[in-house]
Amino acid sequence: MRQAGSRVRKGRPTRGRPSPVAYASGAVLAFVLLLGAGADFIAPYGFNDQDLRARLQPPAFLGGSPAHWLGTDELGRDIFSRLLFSIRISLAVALAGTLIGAALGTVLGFAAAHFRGLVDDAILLFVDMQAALPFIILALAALAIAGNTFLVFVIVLGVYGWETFARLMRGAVLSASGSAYVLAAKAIGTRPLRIYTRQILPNVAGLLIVQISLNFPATILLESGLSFVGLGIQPPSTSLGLMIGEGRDLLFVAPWVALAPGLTIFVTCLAASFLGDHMADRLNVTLR
Amino acid sequence: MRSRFVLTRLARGLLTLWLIVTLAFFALRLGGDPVLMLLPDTTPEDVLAAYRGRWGFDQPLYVQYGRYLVSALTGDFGLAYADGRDALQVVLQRVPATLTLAAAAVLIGIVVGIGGGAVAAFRRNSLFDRALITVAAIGYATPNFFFGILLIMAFTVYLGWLPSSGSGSLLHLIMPAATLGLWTAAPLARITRSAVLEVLGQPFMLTATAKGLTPWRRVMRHALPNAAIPVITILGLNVGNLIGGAVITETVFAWPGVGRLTVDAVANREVAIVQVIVLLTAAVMVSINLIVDLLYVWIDPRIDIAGQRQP
Repeated sequence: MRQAGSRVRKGRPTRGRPSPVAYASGAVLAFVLLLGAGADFIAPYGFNDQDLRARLQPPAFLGGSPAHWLGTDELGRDIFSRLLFSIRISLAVALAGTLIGAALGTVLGFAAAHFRGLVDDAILLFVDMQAALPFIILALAALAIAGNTFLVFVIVLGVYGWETFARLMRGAVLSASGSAYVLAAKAIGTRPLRIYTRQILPNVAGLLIVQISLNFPATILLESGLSFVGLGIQPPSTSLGLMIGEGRDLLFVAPWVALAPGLTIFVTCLAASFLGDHMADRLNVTLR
Repeated sequence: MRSRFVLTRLARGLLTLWLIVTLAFFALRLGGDPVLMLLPDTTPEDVLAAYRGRWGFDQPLYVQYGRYLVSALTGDFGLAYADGRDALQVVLQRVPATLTLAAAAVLIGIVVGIGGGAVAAFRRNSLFDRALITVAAIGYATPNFFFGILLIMAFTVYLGWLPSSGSGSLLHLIMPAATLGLWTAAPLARITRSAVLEVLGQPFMLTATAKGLTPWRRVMRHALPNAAIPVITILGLNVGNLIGGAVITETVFAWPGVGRLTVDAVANREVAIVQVIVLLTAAVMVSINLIVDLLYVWIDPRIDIAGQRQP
Protein backbone atom coordinates (compact mmCIF):
# COMPACT_ATOMS: atom_id res chain seq x y z
CA MET A 1 0.00 0.00 0.00
CA ARG A 2 2.52 2.48 1.22
CA GLN A 3 5.00 1.68 -1.48
CA ALA A 4 2.52 2.11 -4.29
CA GLY A 5 1.51 5.45 -2.81
CA SER A 6 5.03 6.78 -2.53
CA ARG A 7 5.77 5.75 -6.09
CA VAL A 8 2.97 7.94 -7.35
CA ARG A 9 4.05 10.85 -5.22
CA LYS A 10 7.70 10.57 -6.12
CA GLY A 11 9.46 13.78 -7.02
CA ARG A 12 7.27 16.32 -5.28
CA PRO A 13 6.88 17.05 -1.62
CA THR A 14 4.04 15.20 0.03
CA ARG A 15 1.53 17.57 1.50
CA GLY A 16 -0.72 14.93 3.01
CA ARG A 17 -2.01 15.42 6.49
CA PRO A 18 0.05 13.76 9.24
CA SER A 19 -1.26 10.31 10.07
CA PRO A 20 -2.94 9.62 13.42
CA VAL A 21 0.18 7.65 14.35
CA ALA A 22 2.30 10.77 13.79
CA TYR A 23 -0.03 12.85 15.95
CA ALA A 24 -0.05 10.23 18.68
CA SER A 25 3.75 9.94 18.56
CA GLY A 26 4.12 13.69 18.79
CA ALA A 27 1.72 13.83 21.72
CA VAL A 28 3.53 11.02 23.56
CA LEU A 29 6.91 12.67 23.03
CA ALA A 30 5.59 16.04 24.17
CA PHE A 31 4.10 14.42 27.26
CA VAL A 32 7.35 12.65 28.16
CA LEU A 33 9.35 15.84 27.59
CA LEU A 34 6.90 17.74 29.80
CA LEU A 35 7.26 15.17 32.56
CA GLY A 36 11.03 15.51 32.43
CA ALA A 37 10.99 19.30 32.25
CA GLY A 38 8.49 19.62 35.07
CA ALA A 39 10.11 17.01 37.31
CA ASP A 40 10.76 19.59 40.04
CA PHE A 41 7.08 20.47 40.28
CA ILE A 42 5.47 17.09 39.58
CA ALA A 43 7.69 14.77 41.62
CA PRO A 44 6.25 14.19 45.10
CA TYR A 45 9.71 13.34 46.51
CA GLY A 46 13.34 14.04 45.73
CA PHE A 47 14.90 11.36 43.52
CA ASN A 48 17.33 10.35 46.26
CA ASP A 49 15.00 10.70 49.25
CA GLN A 50 15.15 7.43 51.15
CA ASP A 51 12.48 6.05 53.41
CA LEU A 52 13.78 2.76 54.77
CA ARG A 53 10.42 2.09 56.44
CA ALA A 54 8.82 1.92 53.00
CA ARG A 55 11.25 -0.35 51.13
CA LEU A 56 10.12 -2.32 48.05
CA GLN A 57 6.52 -1.11 48.19
CA PRO A 58 4.50 -2.31 45.19
CA PRO A 59 2.75 0.25 42.95
CA ALA A 60 -0.62 1.56 44.17
CA PHE A 61 -2.53 -0.44 41.55
CA LEU A 62 -0.89 -3.64 42.80
CA GLY A 63 -1.94 -3.08 46.36
CA GLY A 64 0.69 -0.58 47.47
CA SER A 65 0.04 2.69 49.22
CA PRO A 66 -1.11 5.74 47.23
CA ALA A 67 1.81 7.65 48.73
CA HIS A 68 4.12 5.88 46.22
CA TRP A 69 1.88 5.12 43.31
CA LEU A 70 4.64 3.49 41.23
CA GLY A 71 6.13 1.80 44.31
CA THR A 72 9.56 2.15 45.88
CA ASP A 73 12.97 0.53 45.45
CA GLU A 74 15.23 -1.27 47.92
CA LEU A 75 16.15 2.00 49.64
CA GLY A 76 12.55 3.17 49.85
CA ARG A 77 13.05 5.76 47.12
CA ASP A 78 9.89 6.75 45.24
CA ILE A 79 9.96 5.18 41.76
CA PHE A 80 7.71 7.83 40.21
CA SER A 81 9.93 10.68 41.40
CA ARG A 82 13.08 8.86 40.30
CA LEU A 83 11.45 8.16 36.94
CA LEU A 84 10.72 11.84 36.33
CA PHE A 85 14.27 12.93 37.10
CA SER A 86 15.64 10.00 35.09
CA ILE A 87 13.58 11.10 32.09
CA ARG A 88 14.99 14.59 32.44
CA ILE A 89 18.61 13.44 32.67
CA SER A 90 18.41 10.72 30.01
CA LEU A 91 16.61 12.89 27.47
CA ALA A 92 18.77 15.93 28.17
CA VAL A 93 21.97 13.93 27.79
CA ALA A 94 20.69 12.19 24.66
CA LEU A 95 19.57 15.49 23.15
CA ALA A 96 22.91 17.12 23.94
CA GLY A 97 24.71 14.13 22.43
CA THR A 98 22.57 14.25 19.29
CA LEU A 99 23.07 17.99 18.81
CA ILE A 100 26.84 17.76 19.38
CA GLY A 101 26.99 14.94 16.83
CA ALA A 102 24.88 16.90 14.36
CA ALA A 103 27.02 20.03 14.75
CA LEU A 104 30.29 18.11 14.52
CA GLY A 105 29.14 16.05 11.54
CA THR A 106 27.73 19.07 9.73
CA VAL A 107 30.88 21.15 10.15
CA LEU A 108 33.11 18.25 9.05
CA GLY A 109 30.78 17.37 6.19
CA PHE A 110 30.81 20.98 5.00
CA ALA A 111 34.60 21.10 5.38
CA ALA A 112 35.03 17.89 3.38
CA ALA A 113 32.86 19.23 0.58
CA HIS A 114 34.45 22.68 0.63
CA PHE A 115 38.13 21.80 0.74
CA ARG A 116 37.89 18.46 -1.11
CA GLY A 117 41.24 16.78 -1.77
CA LEU A 118 43.23 15.83 1.30
CA VAL A 119 40.76 17.20 3.86
CA ASP A 120 37.96 15.25 2.21
CA ASP A 121 40.06 12.07 2.16
CA ALA A 122 41.05 12.46 5.79
CA ILE A 123 37.46 13.01 6.96
CA LEU A 124 36.19 10.09 4.89
CA LEU A 125 38.96 7.93 6.36
CA PHE A 126 37.66 8.65 9.85
CA VAL A 127 34.11 7.95 8.71
CA ASP A 128 35.24 4.56 7.39
CA MET A 129 37.22 3.83 10.52
CA GLN A 130 34.29 4.54 12.76
CA ALA A 131 32.17 2.25 10.62
CA ALA A 132 34.77 -0.50 11.11
CA LEU A 133 34.11 -0.72 14.85
CA PRO A 134 30.85 -1.20 16.71
CA PHE A 135 30.28 2.15 18.39
CA ILE A 136 29.73 0.71 21.83
CA ILE A 137 33.26 -0.79 21.77
CA LEU A 138 34.66 2.58 20.75
CA ALA A 139 32.64 4.27 23.51
CA LEU A 140 33.83 1.78 26.12
CA ALA A 141 37.45 2.18 25.00
CA ALA A 142 37.12 5.95 25.31
CA LEU A 143 35.65 5.60 28.80
CA ALA A 144 38.44 3.20 29.79
CA ILE A 145 41.17 5.56 28.61
CA ALA A 146 39.73 8.96 29.50
CA GLY A 147 37.97 7.88 32.67
CA ASN A 148 34.29 7.58 33.36
CA THR A 149 33.26 11.16 34.02
CA PHE A 150 30.06 12.94 33.05
CA LEU A 151 31.86 15.18 30.56
CA VAL A 152 33.57 12.25 28.80
CA PHE A 153 30.24 10.45 28.68
CA VAL A 154 28.46 13.36 27.00
CA ILE A 155 31.33 13.74 24.51
CA VAL A 156 31.11 10.02 23.74
CA LEU A 157 27.36 10.36 23.07
CA GLY A 158 28.13 13.40 20.94
CA VAL A 159 30.63 11.52 18.82
CA TYR A 160 27.98 8.84 18.25
CA GLY A 161 26.44 9.27 14.84
CA TRP A 162 28.64 12.17 13.69
CA GLU A 163 29.77 10.11 10.70
CA THR A 164 26.22 9.78 9.36
CA PHE A 165 25.74 13.53 9.63
CA ALA A 166 29.12 14.13 7.98
CA ARG A 167 28.40 11.80 5.07
CA LEU A 168 24.92 13.23 4.62
CA MET A 169 26.00 16.87 4.74
CA ARG A 170 29.01 16.30 2.51
CA GLY A 171 26.75 14.80 -0.13
CA ALA A 172 24.17 17.56 0.26
CA VAL A 173 26.75 20.33 -0.08
CA LEU A 174 28.41 18.68 -3.07
CA SER A 175 25.09 18.50 -4.88
CA ALA A 176 24.05 22.01 -3.79
CA SER A 177 27.30 23.64 -4.92
CA GLY A 178 26.35 23.13 -8.55
CA SER A 179 22.86 24.53 -8.13
CA ALA A 180 21.70 27.89 -9.44
CA TYR A 181 21.22 29.62 -6.10
CA VAL A 182 24.76 28.84 -4.95
CA LEU A 183 26.25 29.88 -8.28
CA ALA A 184 24.22 33.08 -8.14
CA ALA A 185 25.45 33.81 -4.62
CA LYS A 186 29.02 33.17 -5.74
CA ALA A 187 28.56 35.40 -8.76
CA ILE A 188 27.58 38.40 -6.66
CA GLY A 189 30.68 37.81 -4.53
CA THR A 190 29.19 36.33 -1.37
CA ARG A 191 31.85 34.95 0.95
CA PRO A 192 31.94 31.11 1.21
CA LEU A 193 31.11 31.09 4.94
CA ARG A 194 28.02 33.17 4.27
CA ILE A 195 26.98 30.89 1.43
CA TYR A 196 27.23 27.91 3.74
CA THR A 197 25.37 29.43 6.67
CA ARG A 198 22.80 31.55 4.84
CA GLN A 199 22.21 29.68 1.59
CA ILE A 200 23.06 26.00 1.84
CA LEU A 201 22.25 25.33 5.50
CA PRO A 202 18.61 26.41 5.28
CA ASN A 203 18.25 24.29 2.16
CA VAL A 204 19.57 21.11 3.78
CA ALA A 205 17.81 21.79 7.10
CA GLY A 206 15.06 19.26 6.35
CA LEU A 207 17.60 16.50 5.85
CA LEU A 208 19.36 17.55 9.03
CA ILE A 209 16.18 17.55 11.10
CA VAL A 210 15.17 14.09 9.87
CA GLN A 211 18.59 12.68 10.69
CA ILE A 212 18.48 14.33 14.12
CA SER A 213 15.09 12.77 14.78
CA LEU A 214 16.45 9.35 13.80
CA ASN A 215 19.65 9.78 15.78
CA PHE A 216 17.88 10.91 18.95
CA PRO A 217 16.19 7.58 19.87
CA ALA A 218 19.39 5.72 18.98
CA THR A 219 21.30 7.99 21.37
CA ILE A 220 18.72 7.35 24.09
CA LEU A 221 19.30 3.62 23.62
CA LEU A 222 23.08 4.07 23.74
CA GLU A 223 22.86 6.22 26.88
CA SER A 224 20.56 3.80 28.65
CA GLY A 225 22.62 0.80 27.53
CA LEU A 226 25.85 2.26 28.89
CA SER A 227 24.17 3.44 32.08
CA PHE A 228 22.55 0.02 32.44
CA VAL A 229 25.90 -1.77 32.52
CA GLY A 230 27.14 0.83 35.00
CA LEU A 231 29.42 2.76 32.63
CA GLY A 232 27.26 5.80 31.94
CA ILE A 233 25.49 8.13 34.33
CA GLN A 234 26.75 7.35 37.83
CA PRO A 235 24.90 7.37 41.16
CA PRO A 236 23.97 9.50 43.08
CA SER A 237 22.64 10.89 39.81
CA THR A 238 20.04 8.83 38.02
CA SER A 239 18.98 7.88 34.49
CA LEU A 240 16.54 5.50 32.85
CA GLY A 241 19.25 2.95 32.05
CA LEU A 242 20.71 3.22 35.54
CA MET A 243 17.27 2.56 37.05
CA ILE A 244 16.84 -0.57 34.94
CA GLY A 245 20.29 -1.71 36.02
CA GLU A 246 19.30 -1.28 39.66
CA GLY A 247 16.04 -3.11 38.99
CA ARG A 248 17.88 -6.02 37.32
CA ASP A 249 18.84 -7.43 40.72
CA LEU A 250 15.36 -6.93 42.15
CA LEU A 251 13.36 -8.75 39.48
CA PHE A 252 12.25 -11.48 41.87
CA VAL A 253 11.09 -9.17 44.65
CA ALA A 254 10.24 -5.89 42.93
CA PRO A 255 9.86 -6.14 39.14
CA TRP A 256 8.30 -2.65 38.98
CA VAL A 257 11.68 -1.05 39.65
CA ALA A 258 12.92 -2.14 36.20
CA LEU A 259 9.56 -2.10 34.41
CA ALA A 260 8.75 1.60 34.89
CA PRO A 261 11.94 2.98 33.27
CA GLY A 262 12.01 0.16 30.68
CA LEU A 263 8.52 0.95 29.45
CA THR A 264 9.37 4.66 29.44
CA ILE A 265 12.38 4.11 27.17
CA PHE A 266 10.36 1.81 24.96
CA VAL A 267 7.45 4.24 24.52
CA THR A 268 9.74 7.25 24.03
CA CYS A 269 11.92 5.54 21.42
CA LEU A 270 8.93 4.11 19.59
CA ALA A 271 7.27 7.54 19.42
CA ALA A 272 10.51 9.25 18.39
CA SER A 273 11.25 6.78 15.60
CA PHE A 274 7.65 6.86 14.30
CA LEU A 275 7.89 10.63 14.20
CA GLY A 276 11.29 10.43 12.48
CA ASP A 277 9.96 8.02 9.86
CA HIS A 278 6.97 10.23 9.34
CA MET A 279 9.10 13.33 8.83
CA ALA A 280 11.37 11.45 6.43
CA ASP A 281 8.28 10.45 4.44
CA ARG A 282 6.81 13.92 4.55
CA LEU A 283 9.96 15.73 3.53
CA ASN A 284 10.50 12.99 0.98
CA VAL A 285 14.16 12.61 1.79
CA THR A 286 16.03 9.41 1.21
CA LEU A 287 18.67 8.72 3.78
CA ARG A 288 21.69 6.49 3.23
CA MET B 1 40.47 -10.26 -11.99
CA ARG B 2 39.12 -12.13 -9.01
CA SER B 3 42.46 -12.40 -7.24
CA ARG B 4 43.13 -8.71 -7.76
CA PHE B 5 39.75 -7.89 -6.25
CA VAL B 6 40.51 -10.06 -3.23
CA LEU B 7 43.96 -8.52 -2.79
CA THR B 8 42.63 -4.96 -3.01
CA ARG B 9 40.02 -5.70 -0.40
CA LEU B 10 42.55 -7.46 1.81
CA ALA B 11 44.93 -4.49 1.58
CA ARG B 12 42.13 -2.10 2.52
CA GLY B 13 41.21 -4.28 5.47
CA LEU B 14 44.80 -4.37 6.70
CA LEU B 15 45.06 -0.60 6.30
CA THR B 16 41.97 -0.14 8.45
CA LEU B 17 43.42 -2.45 11.09
CA TRP B 18 46.72 -0.59 11.11
CA LEU B 19 44.88 2.72 11.49
CA ILE B 20 42.89 1.41 14.43
CA VAL B 21 46.02 0.02 16.08
CA THR B 22 47.70 3.39 15.58
CA LEU B 23 44.70 5.31 16.86
CA ALA B 24 44.61 3.14 19.97
CA PHE B 25 48.29 3.94 20.54
CA PHE B 26 47.85 7.68 20.27
CA ALA B 27 44.54 7.79 22.11
CA LEU B 28 46.23 6.37 25.18
CA ARG B 29 49.03 8.96 25.00
CA LEU B 30 47.07 11.98 23.86
CA GLY B 31 45.19 12.43 27.10
CA GLY B 32 48.32 12.97 29.19
CA ASP B 33 50.58 10.62 31.11
CA PRO B 34 49.35 7.07 30.45
CA VAL B 35 50.84 5.81 33.71
CA LEU B 36 48.62 8.19 35.65
CA MET B 37 45.62 6.79 33.78
CA LEU B 38 46.53 3.17 34.27
CA LEU B 39 47.44 3.29 37.93
CA PRO B 40 45.25 4.33 40.86
CA ASP B 41 45.23 8.03 41.77
CA THR B 42 46.98 7.46 45.09
CA THR B 43 50.07 5.76 43.63
CA PRO B 44 53.28 7.35 45.02
CA GLU B 45 55.56 9.16 42.57
CA ASP B 46 58.48 6.68 42.78
CA VAL B 47 56.16 3.77 41.93
CA LEU B 48 54.80 5.77 38.99
CA ALA B 49 58.36 6.35 37.78
CA ALA B 50 59.17 2.66 38.12
CA TYR B 51 56.14 1.67 36.04
CA ARG B 52 56.92 4.38 33.51
CA GLY B 53 60.28 2.68 32.99
CA ARG B 54 58.89 -0.85 33.05
CA TRP B 55 56.21 -0.08 30.44
CA GLY B 56 58.60 1.96 28.33
CA PHE B 57 56.66 5.23 28.61
CA ASP B 58 59.92 7.11 29.29
CA GLN B 59 61.17 6.37 25.74
CA PRO B 60 60.75 8.76 22.78
CA LEU B 61 57.38 8.43 21.09
CA TYR B 62 58.67 6.79 17.88
CA VAL B 63 60.51 4.13 19.90
CA GLN B 64 57.34 3.44 21.86
CA TYR B 65 55.33 3.23 18.65
CA GLY B 66 57.82 0.84 17.01
CA ARG B 67 57.86 -1.42 20.06
CA TYR B 68 54.09 -1.26 20.24
CA LEU B 69 53.68 -2.34 16.61
CA VAL B 70 56.15 -5.21 17.03
CA SER B 71 54.47 -6.46 20.18
CA ALA B 72 50.99 -6.12 18.64
CA LEU B 73 52.18 -8.21 15.67
CA THR B 74 53.55 -10.89 17.98
CA GLY B 75 50.37 -10.93 20.03
CA ASP B 76 51.97 -9.37 23.09
CA PHE B 77 49.54 -6.78 24.40
CA GLY B 78 50.84 -6.57 27.92
CA LEU B 79 49.50 -7.91 31.17
CA ALA B 80 46.22 -7.48 32.93
CA TYR B 81 46.80 -5.07 35.77
CA ALA B 82 44.74 -6.88 38.41
CA ASP B 83 46.16 -10.41 38.24
CA GLY B 84 49.17 -10.10 35.95
CA ARG B 85 47.85 -12.57 33.40
CA ASP B 86 48.56 -12.14 29.70
CA ALA B 87 45.86 -9.80 28.34
CA LEU B 88 45.47 -11.72 25.08
CA GLN B 89 44.97 -14.98 26.98
CA VAL B 90 42.37 -13.40 29.25
CA VAL B 91 40.36 -12.31 26.22
CA LEU B 92 40.81 -15.50 24.20
CA GLN B 93 39.53 -17.52 27.12
CA ARG B 94 36.20 -15.74 26.83
CA VAL B 95 35.86 -16.06 23.07
CA PRO B 96 34.18 -19.51 22.92
CA ALA B 97 31.28 -18.38 25.12
CA THR B 98 30.68 -15.32 22.95
CA LEU B 99 30.97 -17.35 19.74
CA THR B 100 28.37 -19.82 21.02
CA LEU B 101 26.01 -17.00 21.87
CA ALA B 102 26.63 -15.18 18.58
CA ALA B 103 26.14 -18.34 16.49
CA ALA B 104 22.85 -19.11 18.20
CA ALA B 105 21.75 -15.48 17.78
CA VAL B 106 22.66 -15.38 14.08
CA LEU B 107 20.78 -18.63 13.55
CA ILE B 108 17.69 -17.15 15.19
CA GLY B 109 18.18 -13.93 13.26
CA ILE B 110 18.37 -15.77 9.92
CA VAL B 111 15.45 -18.10 10.58
CA VAL B 112 13.14 -15.49 12.09
CA GLY B 113 14.35 -12.43 10.19
CA ILE B 114 15.04 -13.73 6.68
CA GLY B 115 12.40 -16.48 6.87
CA GLY B 116 9.79 -14.18 8.35
CA GLY B 117 10.61 -11.33 5.96
CA ALA B 118 10.39 -13.60 2.91
CA VAL B 119 7.09 -15.16 4.00
CA ALA B 120 5.69 -11.69 4.73
CA ALA B 121 6.63 -10.54 1.23
CA PHE B 122 5.00 -13.56 -0.42
CA ARG B 123 1.85 -13.05 1.63
CA ARG B 124 1.84 -9.30 1.32
CA ASN B 125 -0.83 -7.44 3.32
CA SER B 126 -1.82 -10.64 5.06
CA LEU B 127 -2.27 -10.72 8.80
CA PHE B 128 1.18 -12.29 9.11
CA ASP B 129 2.72 -9.50 7.05
CA ARG B 130 1.17 -6.74 9.15
CA ALA B 131 2.02 -8.50 12.39
CA LEU B 132 5.63 -8.87 11.28
CA ILE B 133 5.97 -5.20 10.32
CA THR B 134 4.55 -4.14 13.67
CA VAL B 135 6.73 -6.51 15.64
CA ALA B 136 9.83 -5.38 13.71
CA ALA B 137 9.03 -1.72 14.48
CA ILE B 138 8.58 -2.59 18.14
CA GLY B 139 11.80 -4.59 18.05
CA TYR B 140 13.64 -1.50 16.84
CA ALA B 141 12.49 0.58 19.79
CA THR B 142 13.03 -1.99 22.53
CA PRO B 143 16.38 -1.73 24.24
CA ASN B 144 17.73 -5.27 24.15
CA PHE B 145 18.58 -5.21 27.84
CA PHE B 146 14.95 -4.41 28.59
CA PHE B 147 13.78 -7.24 26.34
CA GLY B 148 16.16 -9.54 28.21
CA ILE B 149 14.67 -8.39 31.50
CA LEU B 150 11.14 -9.05 30.21
CA LEU B 151 12.25 -12.57 29.28
CA ILE B 152 13.70 -13.12 32.75
CA MET B 153 10.44 -11.90 34.29
CA ALA B 154 8.40 -14.27 32.16
CA PHE B 155 10.52 -17.40 32.08
CA THR B 156 12.40 -17.21 35.35
CA VAL B 157 10.31 -15.20 37.79
CA TYR B 158 6.81 -16.29 36.79
CA LEU B 159 7.19 -19.62 35.02
CA GLY B 160 10.42 -20.75 36.63
CA TRP B 161 11.47 -22.60 33.48
CA LEU B 162 14.84 -21.06 32.67
CA PRO B 163 17.84 -19.91 34.73
CA SER B 164 18.24 -16.12 34.68
CA SER B 165 22.02 -16.04 34.59
CA GLY B 166 25.19 -18.03 34.11
CA SER B 167 26.14 -20.60 31.50
CA GLY B 168 26.90 -24.27 31.13
CA SER B 169 23.78 -25.80 29.64
CA LEU B 170 21.50 -25.34 26.68
CA LEU B 171 18.86 -23.95 29.04
CA HIS B 172 21.23 -21.13 29.98
CA LEU B 173 21.71 -20.28 26.32
CA ILE B 174 18.04 -19.89 25.38
CA MET B 175 17.25 -16.45 26.79
CA PRO B 176 20.51 -14.67 25.89
CA ALA B 177 20.38 -16.13 22.38
CA ALA B 178 16.73 -15.10 21.99
CA THR B 179 17.50 -11.57 23.22
CA LEU B 180 20.40 -11.10 20.85
CA GLY B 181 18.77 -13.08 18.03
CA LEU B 182 15.45 -11.27 17.92
CA TRP B 183 17.28 -7.97 18.07
CA THR B 184 19.21 -9.09 14.97
CA ALA B 185 16.06 -10.37 13.32
CA ALA B 186 14.13 -7.06 13.32
CA PRO B 187 16.22 -5.19 10.71
CA LEU B 188 16.75 -8.40 8.73
CA ALA B 189 13.01 -9.01 8.50
CA ARG B 190 12.41 -5.48 7.25
CA ILE B 191 15.10 -5.53 4.59
CA THR B 192 14.30 -9.09 3.43
CA ARG B 193 10.65 -8.20 3.05
CA SER B 194 11.33 -5.15 0.90
CA ALA B 195 14.07 -6.89 -1.11
CA VAL B 196 11.82 -9.85 -1.92
CA LEU B 197 8.91 -7.52 -2.76
CA GLU B 198 11.18 -5.70 -5.18
CA VAL B 199 12.24 -8.93 -6.85
CA LEU B 200 8.68 -10.25 -7.10
CA GLY B 201 7.80 -7.29 -9.31
CA GLN B 202 10.57 -8.11 -11.82
CA PRO B 203 9.72 -9.45 -15.28
CA PHE B 204 11.78 -12.62 -14.80
CA MET B 205 9.50 -13.67 -11.97
CA LEU B 206 6.56 -13.39 -14.33
CA THR B 207 8.52 -15.46 -16.84
CA ALA B 208 9.25 -18.06 -14.21
CA THR B 209 5.57 -18.31 -13.39
CA ALA B 210 4.65 -18.42 -17.08
CA LYS B 211 7.15 -21.24 -17.64
CA GLY B 212 5.14 -23.22 -15.12
CA LEU B 213 7.87 -23.53 -12.48
CA THR B 214 6.77 -24.79 -9.10
CA PRO B 215 6.43 -22.13 -6.39
CA TRP B 216 9.33 -23.73 -4.49
CA ARG B 217 11.63 -23.45 -7.49
CA ARG B 218 10.50 -19.90 -8.20
CA VAL B 219 11.35 -18.89 -4.67
CA MET B 220 14.59 -20.79 -4.22
CA ARG B 221 16.11 -20.36 -7.68
CA HIS B 222 14.77 -16.99 -8.76
CA ALA B 223 13.45 -14.82 -5.96
CA LEU B 224 15.84 -15.40 -3.06
CA PRO B 225 19.19 -15.25 -4.92
CA ASN B 226 18.14 -11.94 -6.47
CA ALA B 227 17.08 -10.54 -3.13
CA ALA B 228 20.29 -11.70 -1.49
CA ILE B 229 22.54 -8.65 -2.01
CA PRO B 230 20.76 -6.19 0.32
CA VAL B 231 20.07 -8.96 2.81
CA ILE B 232 23.73 -9.97 2.97
CA THR B 233 24.75 -6.32 3.24
CA ILE B 234 22.53 -5.88 6.28
CA LEU B 235 23.67 -9.20 7.71
CA GLY B 236 27.30 -8.05 7.37
CA LEU B 237 26.56 -4.63 8.87
CA ASN B 238 24.74 -6.38 11.66
CA VAL B 239 27.86 -8.11 12.89
CA GLY B 240 28.84 -4.80 14.44
CA ASN B 241 25.43 -4.54 16.10
CA LEU B 242 25.75 -8.13 17.20
CA ILE B 243 29.04 -7.42 18.95
CA GLY B 244 27.62 -4.28 20.52
CA GLY B 245 24.48 -6.17 21.51
CA ALA B 246 26.58 -8.95 23.01
CA VAL B 247 28.19 -6.46 25.41
CA ILE B 248 24.77 -5.60 26.83
CA THR B 249 23.16 -9.04 26.56
CA GLU B 250 26.04 -10.79 28.28
CA THR B 251 25.80 -8.31 31.12
CA VAL B 252 22.04 -8.88 31.53
CA PHE B 253 22.41 -12.65 31.74
CA ALA B 254 25.85 -12.79 33.36
CA TRP B 255 27.06 -14.73 30.33
CA PRO B 256 30.83 -15.24 30.69
CA GLY B 257 31.86 -13.94 27.27
CA VAL B 258 33.99 -11.16 25.82
CA GLY B 259 31.16 -8.64 26.12
CA ARG B 260 30.92 -8.95 29.86
CA LEU B 261 34.71 -8.94 30.08
CA THR B 262 34.69 -5.63 28.20
CA VAL B 263 32.34 -4.04 30.71
CA ASP B 264 34.36 -5.36 33.65
CA ALA B 265 37.64 -4.28 32.06
CA VAL B 266 36.37 -0.75 31.43
CA ALA B 267 34.98 -0.50 34.96
CA ASN B 268 38.39 -1.53 36.34
CA ARG B 269 40.27 0.47 33.69
CA GLU B 270 42.15 -2.58 32.46
CA VAL B 271 43.43 -0.74 29.40
CA ALA B 272 45.52 -3.67 28.13
CA ILE B 273 42.45 -5.91 27.98
CA VAL B 274 40.29 -3.21 26.41
CA GLN B 275 42.97 -2.69 23.78
CA VAL B 276 42.99 -6.40 22.89
CA ILE B 277 39.20 -6.38 22.63
CA VAL B 278 39.19 -3.31 20.37
CA LEU B 279 41.75 -4.84 18.02
CA LEU B 280 40.08 -8.25 18.05
CA THR B 281 36.71 -6.67 17.26
CA ALA B 282 38.23 -4.62 14.46
CA ALA B 283 39.88 -7.75 13.04
CA VAL B 284 36.58 -9.62 13.13
CA MET B 285 34.72 -6.73 11.49
CA VAL B 286 37.32 -6.34 8.76
CA SER B 287 37.23 -10.07 8.03
CA ILE B 288 33.44 -10.10 7.91
CA ASN B 289 33.42 -7.15 5.52
CA LEU B 290 35.89 -9.00 3.32
CA ILE B 291 33.71 -12.12 3.35
CA VAL B 292 30.63 -10.02 2.50
CA ASP B 293 32.50 -8.46 -0.44
CA LEU B 294 33.48 -11.90 -1.68
CA LEU B 295 29.91 -13.15 -1.29
CA TYR B 296 28.69 -10.29 -3.48
CA VAL B 297 30.92 -11.42 -6.32
CA TRP B 298 29.92 -15.01 -5.83
CA ILE B 299 26.20 -14.24 -5.81
CA ASP B 300 26.24 -11.61 -8.52
CA PRO B 301 29.11 -12.00 -11.01
CA ARG B 302 28.19 -8.64 -12.55
CA ILE B 303 29.79 -6.87 -9.61
CA ASP B 304 33.27 -5.73 -10.57
CA ILE B 305 36.34 -4.76 -8.59
CA ALA B 306 35.07 -1.34 -7.62
CA GLY B 307 32.09 -3.01 -6.01
CA GLN B 308 29.70 -1.44 -8.48
CA ARG B 309 26.96 -3.36 -10.16
CA GLN B 310 27.44 -3.37 -13.93
CA PRO B 311 24.39 -2.70 -16.07
